[in-house]
Amino acid sequence: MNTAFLEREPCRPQPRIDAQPYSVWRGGSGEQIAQFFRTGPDYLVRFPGIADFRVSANGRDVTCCPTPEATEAAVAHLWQNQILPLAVAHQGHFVFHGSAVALDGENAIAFLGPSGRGKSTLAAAFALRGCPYLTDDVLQIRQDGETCHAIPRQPSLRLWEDARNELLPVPEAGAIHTPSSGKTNAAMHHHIPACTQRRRLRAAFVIEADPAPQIEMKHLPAGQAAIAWVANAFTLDTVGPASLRAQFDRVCAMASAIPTLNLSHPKDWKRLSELMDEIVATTRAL
Amino acid sequence: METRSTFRSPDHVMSRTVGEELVLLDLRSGTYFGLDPVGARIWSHLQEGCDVEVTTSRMTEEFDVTAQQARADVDALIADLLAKGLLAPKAP
Repeated sequence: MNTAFLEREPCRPQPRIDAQPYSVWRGGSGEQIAQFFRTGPDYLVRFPGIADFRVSANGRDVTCCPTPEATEAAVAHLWQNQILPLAVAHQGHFVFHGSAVALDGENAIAFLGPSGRGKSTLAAAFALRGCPYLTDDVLQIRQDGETCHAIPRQPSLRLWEDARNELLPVPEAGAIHTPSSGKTNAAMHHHIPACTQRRRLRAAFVIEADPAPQIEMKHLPAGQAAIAWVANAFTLDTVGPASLRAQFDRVCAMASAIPTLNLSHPKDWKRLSELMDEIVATTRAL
Repeated sequence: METRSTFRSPDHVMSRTVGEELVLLDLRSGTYFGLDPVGARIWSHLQEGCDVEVTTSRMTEEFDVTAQQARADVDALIADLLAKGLLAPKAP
């Protein structure tokens, strides 16, 4: 993945910020888990109680200041899975909330959606049946004309407890529970094959939030697909006109090149195999 | 809607044709909107300076609909876009 440079500052309590954030992320209970501020030309992303990250205007340099009570694991998680993707996206690259698996030696499929939709579960399930995962939560795409490639990330796959118990019943060594995400990182677990080569992205599936009685896949027209991709894009500056214009142009161009489908399914472990069969069949038929 | 009314896209709205659809971005809020192929054609005619009557006439020619249905579609879309701040009346 393209990168940004991280500099660590000594731990300190988070100073008060009088300005209103221009954007906030909220957790499942409505609590603010991240706040976004402008500091001159730069950006400040505050994870209350954990760390402040200052991102340079061009997205290439990041300074991290953890709180004294923050754990290394929590700070590392935020850097790898939130700040770095935001910084890289701000540099002009395509970075999305998504997972991807290799269907074969050339092709991959992606799953898009916010946390909790089942992206990592599907990535793990596909990997365990022979389709190694490229990434479980941060999907970087490189476009070359009409061809888009999914770029692999470092082998790391984080699963919720129920998914981990269902797919990986044997407790694995090296699993790290990340309190800030609630998931366990089955880092480099040898039972979950990872793909380390880029693959052509043949299709993307946008996972619906609510369970459906049957498995349904609906091809999205290009305009709706573009909106779905934008909705799942890592975006540092959600209000600056220049940033929005640039993202708009990039994503509209990219969305036309990747068949994008809405996916709704029963979210039933017993039908997971059937779901994967249908996903593969649908992709092959495109 | 007055038949001679004309409209323009405000400065805070970006638009891109994607396939047969149109995607609009409201730069004030960072919100995206999508228009289906019918809505995209209505938008296109309005941006060319066509008034409501001409737009309706063109839609009747392009799509297999009655003039009454075309007019209803045009009026409904314009009202929706005006309410969202994605369209603005042109000064007479």
